[in-house]
Amino acid sequence: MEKLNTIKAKILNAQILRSIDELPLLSTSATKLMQIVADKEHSIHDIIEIVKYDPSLTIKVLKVVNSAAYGLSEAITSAERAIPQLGDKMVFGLAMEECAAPVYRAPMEGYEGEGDALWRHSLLAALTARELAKFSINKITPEEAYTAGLMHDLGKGILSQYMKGSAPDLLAAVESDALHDYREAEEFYYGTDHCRVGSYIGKHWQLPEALCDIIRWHHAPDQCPAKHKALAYIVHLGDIMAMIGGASTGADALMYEQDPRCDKFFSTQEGELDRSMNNAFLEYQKIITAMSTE
Amino acid sequence: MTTVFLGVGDYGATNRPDEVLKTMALGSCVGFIVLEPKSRTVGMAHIALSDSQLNPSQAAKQPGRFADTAVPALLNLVAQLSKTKSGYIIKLVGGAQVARMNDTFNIGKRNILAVKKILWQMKLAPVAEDLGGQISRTVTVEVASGKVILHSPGRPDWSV
Repeated sequence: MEKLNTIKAKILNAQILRSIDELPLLSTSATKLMQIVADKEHSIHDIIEIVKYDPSLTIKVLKVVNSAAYGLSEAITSAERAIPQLGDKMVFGLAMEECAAPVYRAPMEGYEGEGDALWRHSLLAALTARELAKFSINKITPEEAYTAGLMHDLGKGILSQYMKGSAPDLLAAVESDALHDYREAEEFYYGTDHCRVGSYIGKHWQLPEALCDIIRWHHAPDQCPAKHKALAYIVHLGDIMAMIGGASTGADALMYEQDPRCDKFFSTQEGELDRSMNNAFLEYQKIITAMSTE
Repeated sequence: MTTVFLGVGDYGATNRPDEVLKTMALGSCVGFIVLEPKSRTVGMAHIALSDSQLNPSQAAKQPGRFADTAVPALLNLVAQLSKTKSGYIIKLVGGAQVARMNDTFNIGKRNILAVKKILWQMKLAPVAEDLGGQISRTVTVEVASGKVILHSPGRPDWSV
């Protein structure tokens, strides 16, 4: 496989930017939910007030809460009763999954991943990031970590469309140690990478600056601006934990490096960490089961 | 051919020649595989973590989830199906990591060590293994042939 020359790389970049411009904007409900969830003073009633006026999101919430995974003895028929059962993060996740489906549900052919691989990976990364926030030596709320985890790999949903058939070559380049990791292989062959493409999507969706920075630097957290660096390290590790937890996006699974400076940003023992990751894995399995039977 | 899927934390065994056992995307998880050739019984556990003390109530519901409960549980199941407690062929796969992963976060390494330690205490050892590295492995075990086939996106299949 040939590396793109400068002109072809510029053309590809323009095509990617056009694809992003054509993406629908985030729904009003998802934008409001993101703001509410980020506010640690929020209550479950704030969430209910958004969802109950969004019919399609209400239907989705009811389908999930009434699925076998929640094992309720009688059916729930209102958003007011469903949302406390699901929790605010789950509801925000459902809102994102619904309105950002063109990205999260994009065929992951470029990575040779399954159709819902990006959604599954993002969800597990969000749940592990939320757990890892507990061990951060900086004050990062679990809510911030969850949201950033959910968004970190958006770029793959778009970039994948332009990378069909490339996985064996990119893998070979990383495995031969010619290139550091899969992100670097994307950059080498295509002149861009999923982090940069993801940050363009973040700007298109008018996500907060912090989220755009995390998306951009989640594989190089040390290069993230200082004010968002601690969160970048959480998402960096959450991404890795999702991959080792079996939710990867395809051929790039595990083809990354852990930043050796992670130790400076976390304070934890192995047992504590494993217990937290087990909680994240269990919740992930429950949500995936609920969503697959909706 | 009927495929019996084993999810994270599941374990199972079969001696039906038309069945295969399959588990998806082992990252840091370890696939513990037991084959008993005389009765053509095969079993597999998808082990997520090393120690059942992390969540004893979960371990009671799902012993396949933790190394220290999964290994005896699967060996018992294979013994029931094969009607023998010896002559097992044991194979281990999985336990992956990313590059430069330090020990605090390296769940895969802990899983491998835990499974090997329990096997050692039971005076058992694997005859084949495909462990560690930066590979997400999907595993299929065929009853009819006893083959253990590994698949990973972007790579040709291989066997152990």
